[in-house]
Amino acid sequence: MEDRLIVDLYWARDERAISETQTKYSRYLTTIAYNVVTNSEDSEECVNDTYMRAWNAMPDDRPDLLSTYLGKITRNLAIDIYRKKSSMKRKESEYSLSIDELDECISAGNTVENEVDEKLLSKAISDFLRGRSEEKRNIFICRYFYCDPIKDIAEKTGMKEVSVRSILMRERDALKEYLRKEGFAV
Amino acid sequence: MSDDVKKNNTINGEMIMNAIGDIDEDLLAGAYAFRGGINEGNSVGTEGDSTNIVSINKKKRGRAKYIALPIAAAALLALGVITTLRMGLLMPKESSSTANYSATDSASSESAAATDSFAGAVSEDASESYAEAASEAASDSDSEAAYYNGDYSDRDFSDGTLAIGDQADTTKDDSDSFGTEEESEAADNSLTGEFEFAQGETSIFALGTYNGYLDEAEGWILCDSFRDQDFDGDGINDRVYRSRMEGSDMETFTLELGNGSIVEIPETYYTGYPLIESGDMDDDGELEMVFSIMYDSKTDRGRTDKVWLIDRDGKDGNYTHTEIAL
Repeated sequence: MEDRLIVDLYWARDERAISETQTKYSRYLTTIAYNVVTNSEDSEECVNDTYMRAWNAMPDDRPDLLSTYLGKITRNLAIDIYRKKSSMKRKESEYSLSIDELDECISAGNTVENEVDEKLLSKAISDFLRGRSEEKRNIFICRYFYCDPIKDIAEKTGMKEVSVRSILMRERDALKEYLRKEGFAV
Repeated sequence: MSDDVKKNNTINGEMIMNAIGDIDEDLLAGAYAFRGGINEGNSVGTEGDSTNIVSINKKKRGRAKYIALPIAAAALLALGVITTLRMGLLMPKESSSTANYSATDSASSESAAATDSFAGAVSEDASESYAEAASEAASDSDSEAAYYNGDYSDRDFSDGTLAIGDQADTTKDDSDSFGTEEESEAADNSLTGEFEFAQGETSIFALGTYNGYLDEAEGWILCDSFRDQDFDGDGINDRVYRSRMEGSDMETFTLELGNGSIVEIPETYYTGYPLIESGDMDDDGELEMVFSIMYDSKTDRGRTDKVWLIDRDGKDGNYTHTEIAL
C-alpha cells in the first residue's frame, strides 16, 4: 500500500493503518532499533511503540515521507531504551560505537552545563551533508542515523570495509571543521 | 541560539548523534532509497558514477612532508635507494600493485573528494592486481632462491624491470596475503580501541598484537610519525593499518593513501616496526615513499630489515611498489 494511503488510514483512525505499517515497514524499523539496542526483545518493543507513537501523532502530523517519519520515531525510542540500559551496563552496540567514533572528532573534554540547541546543530549537520557527494552523504547517514554496521555498508556499496572506514573518518573530520567554522565549540 | 551559546557549549559525540536524528527528511529519504535500493539488488550509486570519474593527475599536489627517521633507518633507506638507482632500474610494472583509475573528468574541481568514492573499487583492483603479481613472484621460487644466495646471474635487468622488486617472503604463500576478509575483520577491531598497553606509557615495543591504525596506537612511541601524515604529497592525509596475523608470527601493513588507493605491504615478522620516508628521488614531481620495516634488536639489518619503494606514476597516477634488497 502506498504511504499516502496508509497515512489516510491513520487520519481516519482505521486500525488497518498499523497492520499496513507493520507489513511494509516492520523489518526496516526492526533493523534500526536493533542496531541501537542490540536486543531482539527491545527492538520489538521499540517497533511496537513506534506504531503507537505514530497512531497518537496522527492526524495532527501528516508526514510526507512515512518511512523516514517512522524511522526517526524508532530511532529515538531505541536511543531512549539504550540510555536506560547503558546506565546499568554499557554494552557495545553500533550506537555506542557510532558515538565513540564521533567523539574522536568532537572534543568531549568539557562538561556541558547548558543543553545545546539540537535543532540548530541538526540544521548545521543537514547543511553540511548537503555539501557532500551523494555517496558520502548516504554512507554517513547509514552509519550515524541508521547505525548500520560498517560491514553492512561495505557490502551495500561494494566497497571494502577499510574504504568505508576511511570515508567515514574523513567525513567526521570534515564535519568537525564545518561545525567549528559555524561557530560551534568542538 | 546565539553564537555565545554555541561557543559556550562543547558538543560531543552523543549530541551529534542526537542531532543527526533530526536532520532534514529529504536527506534521510535519499539514504533510505540508498539502503533499500541496494537491498533489492539495484545498482545504487551508478547515477553518480559518471561524475565521480576523475583524474587523480589533476589533484592538487600538496606540500611535501618529511618525517624524521633515526639515523640508522636513513642510512639503510639510502643504501636501498642507491642500490636501486645504481642498477639503473625502473619500477616493475608487472609486479606492482596498481590502482587503475579512470581519468575522464578532468574538469572536476573536487577530484580529490570524488576519488574517495572510488575507494572500494580501487582497493579491490589493487588487491587483485597485487595478488596476481604476488602469485607470479611466488611461482618463480627457483629464481628467488638464487637471489637470496646472492646469485643475480639469472636476472635480466635490461628491460627496465626491477628483479629484486619481485621479492616477497619466500616462506609464505603470497596469494593469501592481500585484501582478505580477515583484514576487514581486523580493521573492525580498531573501533573498540582495545590497546593492550596502558595509556600514557609509550614504548617502541608496544605494537605487540595490536590490530589497527598506527596513528591510533597511542602507546607506541612512533605513533606520531603516522598521525596526520601526507606521505605521497597529494594533499590528503594517509594512514597505515597494521594487521597482526592471528596464529602466526607475521604482520602486514596497509597504506591507505587517502585518494582511494591502497598499497598492501607483504607480511613480515611481527617484531619489526614500520617507518615511512618520502621524497622526490627521481625528480618527476611526484613524491616517492620508502616504507621500511626495522628490527632494532637484530645485529645484521641487511638480512633482517625490509624496505619497499612506493612510487606514483605521474602520467596515470598509479601506485607501484617494490621491495629493495639491502
